[in-house]
Amino acid sequence: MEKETYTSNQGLVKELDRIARAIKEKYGISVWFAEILGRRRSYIAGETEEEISFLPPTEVKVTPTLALLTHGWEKLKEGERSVILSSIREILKLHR
Amino acid sequence: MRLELADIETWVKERIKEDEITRYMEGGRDFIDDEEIIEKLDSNRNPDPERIRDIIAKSLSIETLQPDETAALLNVDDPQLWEEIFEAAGKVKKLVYDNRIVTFAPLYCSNYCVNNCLYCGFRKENVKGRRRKLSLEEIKRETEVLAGKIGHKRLIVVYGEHPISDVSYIAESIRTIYNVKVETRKGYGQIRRVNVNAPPFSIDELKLLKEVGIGTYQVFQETYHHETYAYVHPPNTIKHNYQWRLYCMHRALEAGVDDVGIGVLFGLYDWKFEVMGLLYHSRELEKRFGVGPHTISFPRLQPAANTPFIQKAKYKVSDEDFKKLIAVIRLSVPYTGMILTAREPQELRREVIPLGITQTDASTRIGIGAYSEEYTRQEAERQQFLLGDTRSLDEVIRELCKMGYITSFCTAGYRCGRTGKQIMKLLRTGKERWFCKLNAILTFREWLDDFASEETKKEGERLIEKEMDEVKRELPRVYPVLLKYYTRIENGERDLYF
Repeated sequence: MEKETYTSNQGLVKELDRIARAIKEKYGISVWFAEILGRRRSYIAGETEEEISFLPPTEVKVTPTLALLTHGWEKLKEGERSVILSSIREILKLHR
Repeated sequence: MRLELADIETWVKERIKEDEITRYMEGGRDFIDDEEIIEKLDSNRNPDPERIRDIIAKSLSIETLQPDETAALLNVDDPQLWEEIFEAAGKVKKLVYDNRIVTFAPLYCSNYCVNNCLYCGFRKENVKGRRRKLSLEEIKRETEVLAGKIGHKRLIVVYGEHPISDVSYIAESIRTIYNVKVETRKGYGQIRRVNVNAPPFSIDELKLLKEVGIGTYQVFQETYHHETYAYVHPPNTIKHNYQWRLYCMHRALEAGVDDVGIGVLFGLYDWKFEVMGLLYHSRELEKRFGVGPHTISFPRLQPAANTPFIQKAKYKVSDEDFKKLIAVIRLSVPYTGMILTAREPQELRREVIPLGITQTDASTRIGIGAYSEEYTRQEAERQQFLLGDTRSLDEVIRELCKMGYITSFCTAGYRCGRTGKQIMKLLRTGKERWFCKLNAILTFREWLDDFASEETKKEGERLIEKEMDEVKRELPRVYPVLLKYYTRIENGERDLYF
């Protein structure tokens, strides 16, 4: 049995892509997801802005192995951030 | 650990996993069709200059070329048209990566090998070669020199194929390197990205390497020509299996290692055929995974101890053809990183860098343990081949400055998820080059403060000033953030990036 990684779990990749689109639609910010591997962040899903700001992204740890990266985190209210993070965590549980 | 011959033989027999080859093949064939390549090269002879200019225009829009288009470029005879190709190659590089050159150093960890490649000083039948595998303590010492004295931030670690340097040893050695942190003049030195040049692995082994945070996984096909491949990699060796090697990047991408590097050892077969092979390989990866090669390498055969094959090789590539192949690769796969190594002599390196090179090594030592033991001359018996350029990083950087290139120690993409499909999109749209510029300025400032000689520092600061002006003009919203980061770095903070 092969070990599963984020990118080999295509169902999860699609789901994270869907979440990124939903966040963009609802809050107007682009996010992408990366696997945390020590100092490395390895792209999994989501998108960068069409109009890139070139500013350093904010990294939000969703779990010890999954990071959400975005340039718009500060634009969100605390409540909105919590909703986003808890929905992602719920989805991760379903795909484990 | 001492291994008996029987253990080694068993290990060799169990290396290749057929199902991890055949799952990618179509109709029982691999994606390199030698006859098709030869036909493309034949049918695109004497290309019309206008067609060549159209192809150049396509490259400038950062589109991967079709095989017929690359074949047409390779068939250009007119020296004037070659000048246009050279110029365009430089432009493509600037569009995608700006004027930065990334530097790195190779770190040879073990030269034990079960293969017997005719061109290689590490082949098992070369009894004159001195064999050695670095302990983790020795790797730590090598890294302390590389990160703490020379100032490298990126390494390519190199291993022969042998059970004593198997994937567990490789993973441990990478962990060891990442853990080294050395105090410097103003800050600290650390290796931030470890790329790996190693044998083909299975998917599960590649997942292990991904877990320890490897950068690029680099495996060269050496030659794409099937018959030549079978000849130079003798039967009853792992490396004799063309497809096991050819599909290792498929396995890597499937394992989630999202930056892969391909390459050819030029001089084993006709260079035009090999450039076509690299193009087919790139297109295959793009088609299957949406991600092409992160880098392409194009080493040429160099003399190696007790390796007569090299002297007799029929397809050695001249300097003139070497320039052509670099320019054609640059135009054919416009988004890819291109690595020029210290195999090549100083004068030639200076000439080919403007043709689209993005990465190069310096202060290079390829003997096992050669950085910490600090031997000053090359020793053929403990090297895979002989180097053409042994200048220090400081000297190379100073020369690059004078040529208008900023040296970058950037590892930012790898640190914030700009990898794989993500970086492909940024490269193809010409947006990545701004990240390259911003991060080059920051990392170059770090290096100047921590490691540069006074002379190099002066040259470097002059260049940084020019680069900062460009950012101020072109990215006015970003400039204040850059300035803030820059000041923090001047004050001793390290590892800030965009």
